[in-house]
Amino acid sequence: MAKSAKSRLAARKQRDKWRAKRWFTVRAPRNPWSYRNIGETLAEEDSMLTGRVYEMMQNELDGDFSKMHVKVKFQITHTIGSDAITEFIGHEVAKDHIRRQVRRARSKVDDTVDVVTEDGFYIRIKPIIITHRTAKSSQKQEMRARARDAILKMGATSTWVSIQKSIMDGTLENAIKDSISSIHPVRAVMLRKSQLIQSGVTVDDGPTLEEIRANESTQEKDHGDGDAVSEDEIDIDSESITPNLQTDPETPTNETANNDNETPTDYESMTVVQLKELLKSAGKPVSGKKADLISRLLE
Amino acid sequence: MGRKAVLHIFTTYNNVLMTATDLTGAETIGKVSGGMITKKGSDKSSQFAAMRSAERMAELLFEKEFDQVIVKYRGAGGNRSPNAPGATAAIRALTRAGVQVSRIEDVTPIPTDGTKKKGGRRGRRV
Repeated sequence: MAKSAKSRLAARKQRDKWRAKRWFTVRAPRNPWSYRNIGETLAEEDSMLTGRVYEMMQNELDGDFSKMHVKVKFQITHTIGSDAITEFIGHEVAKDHIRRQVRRARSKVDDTVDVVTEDGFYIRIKPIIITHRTAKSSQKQEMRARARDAILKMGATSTWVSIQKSIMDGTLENAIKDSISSIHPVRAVMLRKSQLIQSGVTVDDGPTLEEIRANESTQEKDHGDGDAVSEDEIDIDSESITPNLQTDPETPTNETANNDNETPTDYESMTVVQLKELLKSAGKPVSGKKADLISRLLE
Repeated sequence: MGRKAVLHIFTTYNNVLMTATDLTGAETIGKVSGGMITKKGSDKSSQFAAMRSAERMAELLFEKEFDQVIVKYRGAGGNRSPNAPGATAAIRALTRAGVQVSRIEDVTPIPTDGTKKKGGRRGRRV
């Protein structure tokens, strides 16, 4: 099966497209994770990033090994330079973990509860209760009702951020467990799933992205020998240093936007149209903001 | 250490499809299918095809500097069989090729209701 010239050409085009893509750092929400670097994704343009969902296990996020079957979901809302800012849109307990708990001679109580939080976030929480022995249906009904009450009470009196916290550290689960344990012995209470359906008011507190970047860059300096810093390594953790950046240490990324004094002034003073002209003659992609264009020219 | 990717393995009765994406699942890194490996149509879904395509996929990943994967495998689903026979063979071949498999997840679509399985009350009578 010899490849035709056409298909080979297509393959080359594909590879070029891959090279045109840039890496973005995915950052957890400001509150309560203060823009932690949680991973990376790639795209040709930053507008393509919005709406993507980044999933990770909870133990990767906070190192809690008892939570290794909980998947946390973050959705990218917007990008700043090479950083993709996300919001928390819910969690999910692994299906196989729940299936292991459900057995013969145990009862399962499922429910779906919609809550509007104090700050106007519309969320859906799906609790699941597994009892020790088979429960009567009247007991199941009572358990379901009390679990719903506990969730509604907690939801109406707290903000979305504090609910996230109580979901993740198990406070809400324990509250439900306390309220139903007088009805029937309970084996496990889990919040099977939570979903953010509609956003409310977000409160901005905690360090800003600039502060965090500055912090990370100082940490980088402490790690290294503190010589002339190559700008590309600023917001990349020591574990996730990108290989192609390592091989090409001259590549300045979007950090140049923050430290203008590093870039030669003749590019800064040019207009975007002129920059695009230059890029086109150099055979590089012409998409992105001015800072991106400059950084690509400097490559 | 290289980057991490998500490897989606979809095994049906007739073929094995593998797609590697980035962690958001939005950007495709590479695709391999059983039909690219074998010559005979009915071999596309075999374990051997799954193994060979996993090897080819490992090459693709290394070429783009990925060395860790999260495997999400998926069988036919619905009211058909939920098991994905090629997936285990593929995962084994991946680890042998030197790709680090950090997590394995079953994403077979399983309905909580749905239509009756084909074959009738007494099953397929041959």
